[in-house]
Amino acid sequence: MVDPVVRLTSLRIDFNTSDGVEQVIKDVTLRIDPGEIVGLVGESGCGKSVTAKLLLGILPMPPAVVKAGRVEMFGKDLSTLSGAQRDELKKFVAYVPQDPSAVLNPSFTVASQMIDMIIWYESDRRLLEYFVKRHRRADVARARDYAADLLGKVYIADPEYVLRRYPVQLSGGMRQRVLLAMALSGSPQLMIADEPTTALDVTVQKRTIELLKDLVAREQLAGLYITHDLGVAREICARTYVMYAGTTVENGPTGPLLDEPLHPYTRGLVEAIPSLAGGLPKTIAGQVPDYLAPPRGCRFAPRCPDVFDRCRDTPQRIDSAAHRQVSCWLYDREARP
Amino acid sequence: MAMTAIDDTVPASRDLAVVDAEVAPVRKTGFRRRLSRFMRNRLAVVGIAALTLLVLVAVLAPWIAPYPDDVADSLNFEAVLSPPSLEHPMGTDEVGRDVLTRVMFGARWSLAMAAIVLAIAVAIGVPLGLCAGYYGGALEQVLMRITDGFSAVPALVLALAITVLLGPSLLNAMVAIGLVWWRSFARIAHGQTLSKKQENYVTVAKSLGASDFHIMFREILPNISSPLFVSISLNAGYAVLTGTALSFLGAGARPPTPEWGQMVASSRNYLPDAWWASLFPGIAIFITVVSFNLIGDGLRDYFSED
Amino acid sequence: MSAATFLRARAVTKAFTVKRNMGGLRAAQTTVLRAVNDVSLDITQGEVFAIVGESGSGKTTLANLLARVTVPTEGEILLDGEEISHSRQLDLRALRKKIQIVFQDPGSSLNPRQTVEQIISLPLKLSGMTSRQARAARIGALLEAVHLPADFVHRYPASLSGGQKQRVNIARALALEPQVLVLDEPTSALDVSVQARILALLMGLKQERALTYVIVTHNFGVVRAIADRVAVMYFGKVVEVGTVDELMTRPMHPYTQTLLAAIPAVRDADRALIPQVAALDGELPSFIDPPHHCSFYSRCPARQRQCLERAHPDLTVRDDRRMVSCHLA
Repeated sequence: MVDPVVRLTSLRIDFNTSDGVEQVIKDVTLRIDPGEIVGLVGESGCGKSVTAKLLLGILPMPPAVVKAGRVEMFGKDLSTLSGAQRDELKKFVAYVPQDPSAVLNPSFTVASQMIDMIIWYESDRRLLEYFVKRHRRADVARARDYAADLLGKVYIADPEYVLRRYPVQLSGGMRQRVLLAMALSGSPQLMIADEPTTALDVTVQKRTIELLKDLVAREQLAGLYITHDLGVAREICARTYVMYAGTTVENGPTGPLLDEPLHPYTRGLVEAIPSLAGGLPKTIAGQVPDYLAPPRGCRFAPRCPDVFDRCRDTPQRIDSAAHRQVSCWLYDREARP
Repeated sequence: MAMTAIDDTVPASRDLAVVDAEVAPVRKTGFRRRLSRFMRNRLAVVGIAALTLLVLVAVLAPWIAPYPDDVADSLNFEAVLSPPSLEHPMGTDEVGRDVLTRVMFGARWSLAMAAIVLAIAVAIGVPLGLCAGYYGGALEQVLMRITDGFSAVPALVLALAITVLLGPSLLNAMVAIGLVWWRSFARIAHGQTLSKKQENYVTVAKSLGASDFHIMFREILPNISSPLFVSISLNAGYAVLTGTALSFLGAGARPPTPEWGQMVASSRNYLPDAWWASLFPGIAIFITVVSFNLIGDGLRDYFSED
Repeated sequence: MSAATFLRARAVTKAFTVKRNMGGLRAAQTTVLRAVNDVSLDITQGEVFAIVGESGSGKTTLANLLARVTVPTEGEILLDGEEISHSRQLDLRALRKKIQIVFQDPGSSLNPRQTVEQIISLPLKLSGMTSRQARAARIGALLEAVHLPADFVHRYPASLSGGQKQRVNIARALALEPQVLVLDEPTSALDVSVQARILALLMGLKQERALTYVIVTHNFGVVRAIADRVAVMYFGKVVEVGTVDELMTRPMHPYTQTLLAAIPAVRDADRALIPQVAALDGELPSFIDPPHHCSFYSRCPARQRQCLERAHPDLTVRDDRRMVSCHLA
């Protein structure tokens, strides 16, 4: 049995702020197996960025505190590792952000930036070695060839052209591909993509999605795809987790999850998307809870059209048919009204 | 098309709903929260404390000063240049006046100096910078080149020249410094306006037909106030310093006005023996300038966290 | 509802002169960039008219022209028969009582240093409402209309959520009781569930106040949910116009087909409604050196030789308010 690349179990994270303790992550259980792309879907404030930052190792640990649960990456329990060991794991994780301009330095050519990254990974992130290699002609030439290779992998027809350009001279879609190529440069085992196509035009998005699917299949990557766009999740992610107010409320194979949602929030989300057949979408009443004083029990209860008195307690995660799980009392046989 | 009821505040009523009432959290109000954040900067707090003390001393001087008569001409031959003692904690100067009293009254002049100078400088510099940034084109070029011209000459030299023209007096010194000091405010206002005028809310105001005056002073100005406040605070210290320098050079306050710079000047002949007459006013200047600087730094750090 | 044209764009062009550095000692070359190129549209009173396109299509510029935020370099805009794009004597404040615009990005449209009350007061003050009580009453009514609690008047934008900010924007736009509202990407920056509520709000307001909407968006879901007619824009020109029903079920222009095909369907049922057309790899043509032939040629899956040889196709009426700009359709 191969270890999952990522396994979060009943994770609970609190944030200590000057206003008090924000209970940002209440109960997150998530698994990513090798070779699969898993979607993490939710609206703003649900905690998906916190989860991403945790996996990337950049969640500031004060003020954030892991209060309960387990974080396992590449088969290792992070709490048993030292700081240096955890840093080692960062090498295997690549990040594709929403906004390419956040990562691509406008003052340097694509070639320069990709060579930087490649040599940095090659030197195993050792500063002195990096400086030496970065200035040795042979190493730089080799890195440049590799960069051209990577650009080819993301279906850039003319890598030389792109390598010579500055990021501002490239279109949005092209920049995103460069970003993907850079993410691949460290031969990662886990890719975390945070809304990588949101800023793109819809036709460009379509091609980027096709590229991503192809890439995942070829490179045998595991990935976490964070998005608020359910349609995109359906295209790319074999399985999807739906997050609300810090809890993974439902998960399962993406198609059935969207066609027949179990959790009332998932259902509300799907119905809120205008159907191509017409008609105003249905709305979800209420607002996201305040993390300083969240409702006890199910956090969706105040907004749930099917709420009943059992919802005062936090629902257990229940296995439903065909690899699906849901955190909702409606599906607990004993609790049902 | 079917319409659903929507309400941002109250969840739709449900028959079976047994829901914990949502309690609005007790959060510190905006002002108190910002205050506590500012207070985290210890040095800035020290600066504020010192400045508060200074202001209190300045305001209460006539009542708390030990020898209020010594502010004006007062000759006390027996006590000339006596060292610090119980009767005169800061000693006496070359005509026998109590240094402590004069230092206390001097605070009034220095703070007045800061206030008047900054008022003049801001009143000239900020509208100038706003107009230059907002209108652009030829007006911008003309205004900014004038600003550059004023910036080319060191403040003290220019202020000195103006004071000589107007005639040496403390008031003239304040005006002179104000006329020189506006340039940094103009530059800040200009740069900030350039960036803010692209913001959507400015476009909205324009499209609604708001006047240029409204856009500059009601839309843009409140959004550029932070760097201006930082600059005001940092400049206050230097304004005081320049004022004391002018007085020291004889172009500002004339004796017997108990202005610190003037006091340092007139007593410096007696250094190093009668050190107290020059030193204590000097320390007062130092504390004032440093307090303003600390506050300014604190404000800058506070705003940059936003 | 009258079927008369209420808002009309007639052969409108918005051109910018661009100085291009030729390098070396050569003089800078000035070229003309047409963000909106010879566009004509008729919008009927009481309808919801959508303008769809991707980046570079000119849709935001067109919205700004319709709402007279900018003026066209050629052509004219008519509102209720009155020419509003060129007249020098135009009273902008009077115009705003008829047509208002809600800009893209609700966050930056609100002055962070002003309270909701001050923000909504501005158009009221500019229109001469001097009495504070009158303003307060109107603001209270507006907040109620957009379903915000009355005590929000004292809030600053920083303490509002995205959806609430957009509601404030809408309230401000309605302050002068206009007849036409131009909305630039009204829901793009918002979460899905919030989008649904804003759309419902907009439709409710439209019915209550007999409004006409011009909605600029890239999201066909929004178009489907609330629009009556839609115009598709590409590279500064309108390439297809039609009723939403017609255009989405039977798209005629290859670009429209490409756009629809690119929609990632959430529900399986929706998938069947999407044409399966693949656009060719390619970028927008150069704005500085635009082609004389059809601007979509470089990416058109249905292109033929004649498309390269002939000039850019005119937008021709096919039937029943359907217009297409294509040699082949």
